[in-house]
Amino acid sequence: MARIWVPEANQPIGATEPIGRRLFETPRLAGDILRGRADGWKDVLITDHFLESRDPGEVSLDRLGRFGVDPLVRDVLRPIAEDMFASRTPPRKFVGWVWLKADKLRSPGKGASAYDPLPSPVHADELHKIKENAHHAHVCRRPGDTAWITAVALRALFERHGSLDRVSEKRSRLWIYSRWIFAVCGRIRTYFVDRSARR
Amino acid sequence: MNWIVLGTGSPLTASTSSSYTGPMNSGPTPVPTKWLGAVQRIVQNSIGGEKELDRNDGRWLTEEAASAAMKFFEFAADALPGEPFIYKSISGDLVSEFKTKYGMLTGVISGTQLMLYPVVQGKPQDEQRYDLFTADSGSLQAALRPITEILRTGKHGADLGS
Repeated sequence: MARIWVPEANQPIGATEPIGRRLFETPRLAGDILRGRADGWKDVLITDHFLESRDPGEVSLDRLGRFGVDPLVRDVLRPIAEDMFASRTPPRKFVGWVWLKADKLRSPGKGASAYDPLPSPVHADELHKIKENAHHAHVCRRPGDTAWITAVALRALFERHGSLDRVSEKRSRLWIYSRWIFAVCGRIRTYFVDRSARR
Repeated sequence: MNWIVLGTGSPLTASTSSSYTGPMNSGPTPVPTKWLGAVQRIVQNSIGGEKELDRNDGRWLTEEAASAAMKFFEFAADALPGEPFIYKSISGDLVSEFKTKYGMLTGVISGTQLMLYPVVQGKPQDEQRYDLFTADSGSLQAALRPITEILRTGKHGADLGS
């Protein structure tokens, strides 16, 4: 079995690490049934995806891999994200992540608000139905900013520098084969690494 | 504002009468923003009864929220950058998002409070707050026009007309 990248608790977030924000299906008002919406990936984003009013000052993010989005990390995080949105009131459907490289959050360019993503692994808490998430990270709200200002600023950053990683319900045959090849390659690599370590 | 020459002003429909500035003997007559009627219908058709609001699936609006939204769109339609995408946020506020070539404007209606968050070329601008209970169409439009101008042209006020 291929090994999943699990960051150490205090392992700082690298400059090229992909940092993702979970997205839910865009809500529509009951009367909004006839209007179409452009389906470019940037049209999937709404400011609400970045709104975090529960935790004072912290916006949750996921570390999606070491150097690029890791499919195995996605697989670990997907059920956690699905459960999180399903338990909300009203429940939402998880549709994927929008992600960017950590350095784009730290130095986004002149005039844009910068945020420093910090690792914050979540420990399992059965009492509160919280699942373990070693890939959890967050950014802090800037002093004086409201939840909405932070949401607007983060949305602007992710829209400008980010990419969409949408989860599909139905997995294609190509996806299944590529995952199988990926897993086999991981096992071969592990075998050779272990063998060279034994020598 | 959208203008079209119709000769003498013809009466406007009831749903758009708020943007009608009165009779004009000659010259251009203001034509209400095209999307206003559609957005008003969406808001109106999303007002939930007790049963729908109890279900709390995020698709229904209270009458108060809907009337605040209607007031905002009626008052400000002519000065807004285009047709909004509207939804109810996870915090229960009504959100309208306007996209332009150079950025976007997020309007949040919470009770009778309106908060506007412009982002121009990826850079968030200062938050602006208005009380929809006391605001009038003229002052709201006057406040919105500079933001809309920046969003349409990508240039700040100081650069405009220079």
